[in-house]
Amino acid sequence: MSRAPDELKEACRRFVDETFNKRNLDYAESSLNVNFVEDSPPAGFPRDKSGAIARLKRFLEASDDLRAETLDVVSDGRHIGVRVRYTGTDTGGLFPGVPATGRSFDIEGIHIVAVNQDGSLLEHYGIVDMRDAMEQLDLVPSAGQP
Amino acid sequence: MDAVERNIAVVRRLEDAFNDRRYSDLDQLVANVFEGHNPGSSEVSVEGLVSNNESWHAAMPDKRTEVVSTFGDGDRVVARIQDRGTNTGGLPWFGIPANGRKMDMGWVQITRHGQDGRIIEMWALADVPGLLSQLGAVARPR
Repeated sequence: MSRAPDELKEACRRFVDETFNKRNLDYAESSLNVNFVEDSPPAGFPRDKSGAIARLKRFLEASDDLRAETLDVVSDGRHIGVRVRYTGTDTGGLFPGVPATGRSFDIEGIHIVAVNQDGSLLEHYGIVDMRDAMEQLDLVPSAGQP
Repeated sequence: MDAVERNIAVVRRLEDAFNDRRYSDLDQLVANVFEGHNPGSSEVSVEGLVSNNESWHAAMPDKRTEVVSTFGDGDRVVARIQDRGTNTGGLPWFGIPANGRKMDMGWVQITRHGQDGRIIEMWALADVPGLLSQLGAVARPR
């Protein structure tokens, strides 16, 4: 059984807005299934729901003016694909072990989420362009193109 | 086959064509007017897709791309993809010499398809920090 794709797309837009713009981690926590699994965990974060919430918290703490904008959202009723633009200033240390640079970033992420029958989020695989962020914060030289 | 299934088949056939370097297939899979967006880098044309693939094959002649999962909605297809290979040729655009190390790099892609199924637009993001770490290059900020 699946849910209406339009319903999931709207829920996705709301999740992005609540979590990153309104900094409402309670909303994020209520959206994730108790058996949530992270398929793309950064080093040091558990793959379960607690790890996912900790990672979101860390991202919010890294930038006190973080904004997220949903650029595109796709759903078949069981999955959501979403492209998100994240803009902000590195005020809290975007990269572990690197002091806050005070520089601004403007990066994109693409996320794939599996959705449970009750609408809760079950599984996430996503890539946020942290390489681009490192370049924008002047932490690494710009990479060339293949 | 409905339009979404057909679009998904196009995405899979495109990766097959890149695996086999069978670029004559691209006419059927990519629209004449095409825009590839790799956030953080410049726009990519069809010729750019081919030259990127040739660079990767020069770096990793054993490179294979696997489409791990897909789903579609309207004119969009979302794909989770995995690239695997051995760095026997070097990745000069990252300043990485040939070193025999293995790559197992995930990426995600959203494509927009025309009514004939061919790809009009593509957005893709790869786990570049993960790749650099696997190949022994600088993955962490300096």
